[in-house]
Amino acid sequence: MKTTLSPSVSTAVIAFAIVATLVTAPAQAASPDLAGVWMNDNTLDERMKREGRTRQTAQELAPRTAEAAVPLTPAYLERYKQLQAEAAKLAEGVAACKWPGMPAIMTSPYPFEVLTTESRLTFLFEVDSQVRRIFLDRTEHLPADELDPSYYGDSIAHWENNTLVIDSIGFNSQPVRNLPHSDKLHIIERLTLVDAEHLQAEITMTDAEAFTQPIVIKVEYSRRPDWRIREYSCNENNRDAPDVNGQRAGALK
Amino acid sequence: MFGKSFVGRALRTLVLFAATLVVAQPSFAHHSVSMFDRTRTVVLSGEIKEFQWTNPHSWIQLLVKDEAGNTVEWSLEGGSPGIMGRNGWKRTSLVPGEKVTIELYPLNTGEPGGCFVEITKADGSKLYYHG
Repeated sequence: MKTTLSPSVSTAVIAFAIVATLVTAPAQAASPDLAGVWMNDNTLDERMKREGRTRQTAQELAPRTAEAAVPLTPAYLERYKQLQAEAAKLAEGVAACKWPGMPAIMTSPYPFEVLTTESRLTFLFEVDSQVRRIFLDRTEHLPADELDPSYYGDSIAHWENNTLVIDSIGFNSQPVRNLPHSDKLHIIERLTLVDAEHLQAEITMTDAEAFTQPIVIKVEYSRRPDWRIREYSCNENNRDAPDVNGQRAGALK
Repeated sequence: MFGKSFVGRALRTLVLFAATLVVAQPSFAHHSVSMFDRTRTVVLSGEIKEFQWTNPHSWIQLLVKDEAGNTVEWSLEGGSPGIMGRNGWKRTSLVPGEKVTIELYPLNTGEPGGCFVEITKADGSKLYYHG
């Protein structure tokens, strides 16, 4: 049976269809799904398991050399040397507990879990039980008087196809990759879902006052649906902590 | 590559400044391993006094008889429960009173401590810090 609609009904139907399309459009353009547990693929342990090794190579066992490139302006190079001198006063291998901060948290040898909720992504890291909150519902950073200096800064993000672009400012004065920086430190992360199981990150740090050139770090992660994130507090039993003289406080016993 | 001319130097400088520094990701760990002599390993047989399944590192307290017959307590560092758990360990992998043989990287200082590499249990089964 053929049904013929009157012009006014046809118009109404078309109007309804347009409205319905507009209303459902965001669902059709659904963001890629980052929810789940992710792990850095290039940590020592992941590499060794992948290669079926229980022994480190000579290269892995060789003493680490200092970062060759220190792209700092003169004032910050001076501060860098002071930091190195302070670190040298500690006994070998002694380390106090401190939060990793950005960008070290993104290269750490521990997994993280991404929660997706309306208007934000929440990254829950195993190492030191850290949290990053990444806002999808803001296109502007917090106003200057609200921008508390912090380890993870203020992060706003948007999707460009399969790439989540995270823009972060508002970092505290803790060194990044052992480099001092100014309050102008700006970090752009491009997290690309190359397929459902693999995520590639390109992390670019710029600092107009402290860095002479941008610093880029690349990391690759894989989904780990069968992994659980464990509790981690560095203060639980840090026997490598320094005493008042910079010596190891509790390594023996 | 640009020769020694002024233009060459200027170009080279420009290239240097325009370059973005791509750095390898650091082998981030809780602390440097420079305290251990990783050029050699030591093998000890003894009895587990305690297995501390804790962050940021697990520790094995191992009781070892020295050449004079005295019992010496060694402190042997391993990874966090997260890392070791994903390498097959459990908090019950070592229990007090258990007899084990442990290969380790010793402390540079000569004190009774180190970083364990491989553990052989009484039944011959093995546990590895890594891998």
